[in-house]
Order: sequence, then structure tokens, then C-alpha cells
Amino acid sequence: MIRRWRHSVQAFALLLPIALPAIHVFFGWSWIQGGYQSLGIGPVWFLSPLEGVESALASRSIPWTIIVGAVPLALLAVFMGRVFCSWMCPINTLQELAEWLARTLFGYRPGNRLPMPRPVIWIVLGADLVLSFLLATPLFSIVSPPGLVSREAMGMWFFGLVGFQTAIIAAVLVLGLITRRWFCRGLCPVGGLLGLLGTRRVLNVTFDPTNCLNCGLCTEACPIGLEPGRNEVNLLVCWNCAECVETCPGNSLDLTFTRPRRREEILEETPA
Amino acid sequence: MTLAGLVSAPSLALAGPVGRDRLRPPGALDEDHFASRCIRCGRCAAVCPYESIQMLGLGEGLHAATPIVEPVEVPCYMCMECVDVCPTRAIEPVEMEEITMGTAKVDREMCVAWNGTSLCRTCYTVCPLRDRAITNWEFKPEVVDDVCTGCGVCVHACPISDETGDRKAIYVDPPGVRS
Repeated sequence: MIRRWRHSVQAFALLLPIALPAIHVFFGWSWIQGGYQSLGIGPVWFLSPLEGVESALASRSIPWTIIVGAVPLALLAVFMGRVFCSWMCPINTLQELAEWLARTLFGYRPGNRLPMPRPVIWIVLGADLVLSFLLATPLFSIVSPPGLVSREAMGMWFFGLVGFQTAIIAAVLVLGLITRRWFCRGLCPVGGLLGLLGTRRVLNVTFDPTNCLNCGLCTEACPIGLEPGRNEVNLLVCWNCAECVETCPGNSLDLTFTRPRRREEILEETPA
Repeated sequence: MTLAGLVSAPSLALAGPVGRDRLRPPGALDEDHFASRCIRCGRCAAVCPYESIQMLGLGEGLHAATPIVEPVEVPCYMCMECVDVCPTRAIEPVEMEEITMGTAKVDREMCVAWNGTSLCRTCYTVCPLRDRAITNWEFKPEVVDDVCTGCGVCVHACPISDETGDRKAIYVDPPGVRS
């Protein structure tokens, strides 16, 4: 049930920014316009929090438009964790599709064990922010794979061409076929920032060991290699996709609103 | 670079992509600050009804994916759509008359009106601020620097170009370039 909802949201979130420039080209309508880095709906606009922070650091200034655009999405992460990643980000959706294709066509399943230490994602986030400041350039904004999806879609409709930066998207998809969501769980500073913001999130996957059959299906289902049966759904990187909840045969897992987690409930990130 | 300089004066390590007939959209911050503020979201390009705003490729280094207007290809028609959509104010709302994308300059050796070949007055005719930004006294077009917005409509319309087609008899230099 949750999976159907999530896939519907994902399909919408993937197709909208691809359709928007086409609607603009063919019908001249641009009331809703933009992509994953910033979306404008009439007089309202949204801005990816990481892009906002990068721009503020790089330019040493915070225009009010950054605050207005980024705060709603930051609050979404504060309350609900990395739901952007698992429910909206086109890069996750495309990796999910690629994985499904590889499984259906070739019976191939990418590995689930991250071939590098888990905390690397925090190092990437920190390095990105420091370098953005030092080089006075919003670095990840330039190569953000989700941003590229919407930008290249626009380039395709507007100018009939996509740039060779599309290779970045392809590289992320290839990584995702080696290890599931390698980029998302190990390298993406957007995911890192949203995860940090969701430290005290109230939407959580909860694990109740009383019904647990120790079947391990949840571990197999988790696209980012967590072990829900060991309460790893409390990690910052858990993105509330609820794949484990959908798979659990014993009703041990649930996606539900809880009180904010206490500090001692939040697991430390441990090397995989 | 001193620590104070590091904190107060962001400037990009590499030379910018802006130059003759390569301009930032209207309302853009000055070139020293533009690429620091711009998050490369592409909304200015996406809202432009004329496809005047293109986004630079990764080959431009730290300036990659910033917006550029090349009036030889498509000029800016000053519809003022893009100035309202920038989420980080790398492009700030301005009135049409306040736009300073650059300043048009006539190459008097190349221009057929100036070199005496013909009575062409195309740039004068197409200028959105006719008689204010480009005057045509004695059939010789002259740019009024303070009024010209640098939109490049004149560049696009100019029928005189060199053999490559890239350099016209009238061109726009970005702000800060001395003639």
C-alpha cells in the first residue's frame, strides 16, 4: 500500500520537471516552472536546502529569497527525514527502474553491501560545504545529478540537445547497478544534509521485535543496505521509503508518526 | 589571499565566460559575484520565451551551467520574465530601462553606414529604445552608452558580419569593458 503511494509520487515527481519545459515550448505556459533544484509555482517558489546553503556560503550573503524557498523543504526533512530522496528524487527513481529492468530482463541483482565506510557521506557533505565556501562557487549545484535531470530535460526540449554532463547521471546509474543506491547512501551531500536535518524526525520506521521472525527479508528489501531487524531504521540515513515495512511478513515494522526520537535512540553510524 | 579577503570578497579562480556578445541575463549580479550566487537551477533559461538564455556546458569549469545570452544567436527581447524567477537573487528584479547587460558598440570600419557603402539603419530601426539608445543623426548609427541596455537586438539584426558570421558590425560588450 505504501509502496503504491510512493511509486505514484515518484512517477509524478519524475515526469513533472520533464513535462514542464515541453509544456512551455509547445503551449507557452510557464506558470509552474523549474526543476529539482528550484521549482516555481506562480508567485511561490521552492529551493533545495543544500543549494541554498551552498549559495549563501559561496556568496557570503543570504538573500531573503533563499530563506523563503529553502525553509519549507528543510522543515519537511526536519519532520519527515530524507523523504525527498526516497519519494521524489529522480535519481533514486531512475536507479529503482534500472534495478527493476536488470532484474526482470537479466535476473541480475546489484549488491547490497556498500563497498566503503558509511560515514563517507558526512565527509562528502562537509567537504562540499567547505570547498563551496573556499572556491566561492556552489559546487554540488553544478553537477547535482537530480538537478541535471531537470536541466538536461529542458535542454532537450528547448535546444534539441543534451550535454555531455548527462554522463554524470549515467555514472550514478551504473554505480547503482553495482551496489544499490551507492551514490545516494554514500556520496550525495543533498541526502546527507536532509538526513542531518531529520535527526529528530517524527516520521519513522519503527521496529517491534516481539513479532520478528528473524527471516531477514527486511534487510534484503532495504535499498540502502540497512538492517531494520537490528533497528538500523534509526540511522540518520534511513529515508523512510518503507520497503522493509512492505516486505515484513510478521508486522514487526511500521512507518508511522512518533514523538521525536531521543538522543539515546539514535544509533551511531557504524561502518557497514 | 588573506583570510579577510577569503571571507569578504568571493571571486572565482577562473576567468569568466562573459565577453563580446556573451552576456549575462538582465538583472544579473556583477560578474565577480554572479557565479557564486547562481545555483545553476536553470529557471531563468526555462522561463525565457525566446530561448535567449542558454546554460553553459561543463567545459566552462566553475562557471559551468550558468546562464549566458548570445545575441548573435538570439538576443534578449527584454520581456522581463527571468528577473522574477531567480531563487537566489543572482538575477535581481529590475525595470527594463535599468538593464545593464552591456553596451552596444558600432564597428565603424565594418558598418556600411559609417564606411559609406550604403544607408543601412537596421540597428537604429530595431532598437527597442529607438532614438534613445541608438540615434541616427546624418544616417550614421550611434549608441548612447547611458541608455543602451545591451539587449543585443541590434546585433542580431545587423546584416553585416565577417566571413565567420560571428562578428557583426555592431556588438555588445559586457559592463566594465572599455571601448
